[in-house]
Amino acid sequence: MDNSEKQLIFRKHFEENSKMVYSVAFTMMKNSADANDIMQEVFLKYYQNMDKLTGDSHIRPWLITVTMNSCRNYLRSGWFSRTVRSDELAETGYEQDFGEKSQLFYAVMKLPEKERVPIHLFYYEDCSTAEIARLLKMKESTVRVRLMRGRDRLRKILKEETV
Amino acid sequence: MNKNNDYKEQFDRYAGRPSDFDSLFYFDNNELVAKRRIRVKSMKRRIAAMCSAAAVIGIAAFAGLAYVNSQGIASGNITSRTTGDITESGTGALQSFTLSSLCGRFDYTVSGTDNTALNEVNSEYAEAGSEGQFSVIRFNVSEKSYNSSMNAVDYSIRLIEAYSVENNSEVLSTTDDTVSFSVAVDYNAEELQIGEEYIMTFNGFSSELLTDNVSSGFELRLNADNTKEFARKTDNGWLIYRNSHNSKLFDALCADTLRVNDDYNHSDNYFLEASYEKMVEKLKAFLETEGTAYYHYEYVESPQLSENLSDILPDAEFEKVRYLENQLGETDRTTVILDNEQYFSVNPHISAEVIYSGLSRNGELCTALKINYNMADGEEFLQDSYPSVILMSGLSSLNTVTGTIISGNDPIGDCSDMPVYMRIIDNNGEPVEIILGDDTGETDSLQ
Repeated sequence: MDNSEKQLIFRKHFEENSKMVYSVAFTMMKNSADANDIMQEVFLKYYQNMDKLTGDSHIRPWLITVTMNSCRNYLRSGWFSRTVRSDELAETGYEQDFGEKSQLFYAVMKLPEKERVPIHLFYYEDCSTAEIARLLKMKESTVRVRLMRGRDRLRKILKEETV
Repeated sequence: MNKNNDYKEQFDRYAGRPSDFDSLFYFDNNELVAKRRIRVKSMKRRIAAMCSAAAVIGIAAFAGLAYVNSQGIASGNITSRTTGDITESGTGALQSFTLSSLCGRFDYTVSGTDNTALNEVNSEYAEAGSEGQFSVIRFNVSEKSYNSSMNAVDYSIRLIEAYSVENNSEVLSTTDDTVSFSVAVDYNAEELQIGEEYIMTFNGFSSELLTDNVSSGFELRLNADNTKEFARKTDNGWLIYRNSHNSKLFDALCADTLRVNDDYNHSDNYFLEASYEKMVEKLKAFLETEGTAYYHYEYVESPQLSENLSDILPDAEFEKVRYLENQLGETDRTTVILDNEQYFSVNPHISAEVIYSGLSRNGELCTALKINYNMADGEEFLQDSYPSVILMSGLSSLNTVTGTIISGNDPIGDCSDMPVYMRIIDNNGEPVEIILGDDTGETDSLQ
């Protein structure tokens, strides 16, 4: 494809997928600024790899996977780890960013990543457990267990919040 | 929370919105250019949590403008992007290596594209009190396939045994016959071969650090351009070693505990050997010299499994216990949870029904459990994910438990010296007391 065509397709795919990439990044990073940074990085990578990715069906899982990898890399980066410890992130990120707390949103963001991400993909992105299993490279049964644990933990969190 | 949940609505309301295209990118002739993003809000909170000098460096580094030449990888004209101390540059596509599931219930991630990142990883582990932990996993490859969409090779491996400095039975045990991981295709690297035996050596298990941390899976990154450089280094740690005289160093990861020389010369902490036995010998010697206890795990096959109960207990006199739902009444949605740290470490909550309790053909007490493919919320397991019947033999405390009321934390017995717990949760996720047998304690009360 020529450059103008590539640019058009890139822009189209950005419009179609940016919300998804952002939401996954936000779920990992738990703040909007980082999520947008990650999104920028992910689409840069996508632009680099556009020629290799054939078929629309591959784009979504590719983007989600790359988004999660980028988030992890960022969270592990030397700069990040020196500046904000990940266990402090929960106390310094979204809670300050949003004055009004959303109980359920707040509770999901309190989940550990291994439960938070499957929960988000399942309930927000409407991914099936099979899709999540492929994306997270784990057995589908493991995904189901994590969903179950996540829900259990959510119940506890919400119950504590209510009390 | 069902799929028509409030979460979507709340997420959309509170999580903000993605930046639009024009605020992130622009095209300059044929180049895609990423706009520089000034992140006032997140910087403020970071500055509060970091030393000022590091902040200045970090801000300057992270704010580096990234762009990619529209000619893309073919032209090799990718501007390096610096994120803190991690620099990605060059024309080689960044490879990734992901090992998930192997770590059982504790997901963890370590990564490094250069020694700086490696040091960061190690220092984090040191902070978590896990410096020097390492494990050796021995396995063979049962399957592999090519994942074209991810440009990766997916491997299924069968664990054979593992050594660990810490008692990481939860980490190192698995009920799965195989675990899987993917490695990005690296045409310079040797692929693992089906049927071959390999050893993975790594360090850094830390449940404290990793349980709730940012990861799922073990990820290594290497650049095709510097694979050879890594291989020449002696301080690199990640090693995939085949039983032949062929070895492959994949990443600079575990610098301190493993030292590998190109010519396989001996050094103080040298674990790579031409034979597995020699490697284990050296490993043990090192651990003993260090005065460090170590643990050896042998992969235990799952309990005897069969689709057909009669195949398991052909000679036993069946005393069919009554199904638990009969005892509990309207319990279509009630789930029995078996919880055993060893056998169910990967999927510790497996729902099942006791369908037989009595003597096996060997005269041992045993319990046959039929896997219930429904989770607490009614979701279905994939039937092929689990065997339909598990025979738990050697439940030594079965007699004690039968006829007594057990609560969530009481073992119903033990299996290979490991306690087996049975719990029931109701439709609301609340624990339900279960009575095995009636008040008279007769063992046939469940029949």
